[in-house]
Amino acid sequence: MFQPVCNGRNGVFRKTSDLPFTTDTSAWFLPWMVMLMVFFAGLTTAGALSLNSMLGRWSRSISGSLTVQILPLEENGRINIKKTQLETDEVLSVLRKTEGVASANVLTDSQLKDLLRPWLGDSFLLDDLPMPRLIDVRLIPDTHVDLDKLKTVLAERAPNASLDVHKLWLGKLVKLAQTLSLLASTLLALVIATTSVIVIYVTCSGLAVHRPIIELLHLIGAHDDYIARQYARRIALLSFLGAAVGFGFVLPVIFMVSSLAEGIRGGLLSEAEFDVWSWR
Amino acid sequence: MNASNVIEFDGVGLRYGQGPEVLKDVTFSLPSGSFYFLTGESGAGKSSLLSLMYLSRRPTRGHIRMFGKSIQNLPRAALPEIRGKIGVVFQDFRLLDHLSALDNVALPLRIAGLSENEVKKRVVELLTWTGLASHLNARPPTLSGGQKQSVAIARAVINRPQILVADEPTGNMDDRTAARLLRLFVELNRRGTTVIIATHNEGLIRTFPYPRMHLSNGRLTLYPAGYAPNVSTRLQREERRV
Repeated sequence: MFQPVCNGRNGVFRKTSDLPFTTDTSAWFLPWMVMLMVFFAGLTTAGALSLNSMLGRWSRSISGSLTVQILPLEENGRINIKKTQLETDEVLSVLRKTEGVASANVLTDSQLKDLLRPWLGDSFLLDDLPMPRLIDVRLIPDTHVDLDKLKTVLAERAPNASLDVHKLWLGKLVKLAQTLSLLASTLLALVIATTSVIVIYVTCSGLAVHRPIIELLHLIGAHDDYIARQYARRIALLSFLGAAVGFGFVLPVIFMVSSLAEGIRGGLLSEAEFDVWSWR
Repeated sequence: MNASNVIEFDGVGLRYGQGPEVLKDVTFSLPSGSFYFLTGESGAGKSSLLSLMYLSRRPTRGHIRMFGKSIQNLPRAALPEIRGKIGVVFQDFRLLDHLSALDNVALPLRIAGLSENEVKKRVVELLTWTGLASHLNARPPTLSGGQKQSVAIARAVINRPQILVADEPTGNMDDRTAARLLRLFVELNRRGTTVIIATHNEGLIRTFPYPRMHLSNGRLTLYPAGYAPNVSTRLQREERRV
């Protein structure tokens, strides 16, 4: 009685191959290589996307905001809170009348402490330190603010106030991040190129190993694509296995880095997002 | 050129590398539906001539036309279409050891793109006819020489080729089985297939009176049915052994 053997359809999903791939040892290392490559590619991609996300946020920060700092006024070795407050009010008044300014808000004491906490911790020093007043200024997008004029006006009406346009220090960080992002992209391109070379090598060695059978298939009437499809199916299966394992390894690593980054929120990494949804 | 000729050789020569010519000035044409035996001493060039017929290699000189198309200038991409019309029984069977008998015979049909149901139906029918119904899932290494040869023949004829080229197809068979398989070839021939069988078996040639092509020192001579060429003493010894 005829028992069906393991034949599928005569297409991509056919189960048996005309070529004895299981005896081809040159392809055995492919899943391992693909696993490593996917692991590296995953890490590199996560790094590059995080850097890009961070870059975007920093760039938006540069173009969309200013900070005005009013140093606490000292008189006879003591902080004059009233005068500092008056100067703060004066600055707010100037800012709110300045063309291109969307909003100007004074940071509360708790917000100031939150900013310092990553460096000083929950030290009692935070309560004793003479805190400057910080005004977070948001600008209307795509409008020009005459910063030189603003500096002059502030110097006249509030001598203890200084304008921080972020550009100097943030600009250097953006440049560093851009370089790192470029490096990550280059690494990713290298990983993809290496994987391609490996796949080409495995295919070529497979063609050499099975040359007599390929010749026979040609003599029976097989087109090149009939044979190529079988190789493609084989390589795809091995690569998929390797990629699945590599992906399985890289995901926990990314989540681990993400957790570590969560632990240092408020530092420079606060703008870096390891959450997939923020990689836009 | 005659349009009814499926194979035409004109002054064909073949040499391997820098070696001597194994085929010299071979000229003949086979009309569609003809049946020829190919005889000659061992090393006379029978397998080389057959390999030119099934397009395994191209001649060193001369011209070959298959189904009216010149092989010389035929692009590689056009070869599968012609090869698909030629069934070949190789002397060394060339079965794929990792595939079952059924899968080996099914190869030409799968390459031709037939549905799996049609493939199974035709393969099982043919293998049952050749007496291999109980060996459908057997792999070639587990089959006897005769059974392997039957599988190889089944693979060559399964797609109803227009030309059937067989290199010593009955070499490992007893006379009864050989005659039975020859009848299959005759039946295919009656249905229009051009058959060329290389053989040493004079008894078989006598049983089936068809014309023969005889190769001697790389040169081909055509003989009508029933006419035996003046074979050498060595060939006579081989024939007695067969």
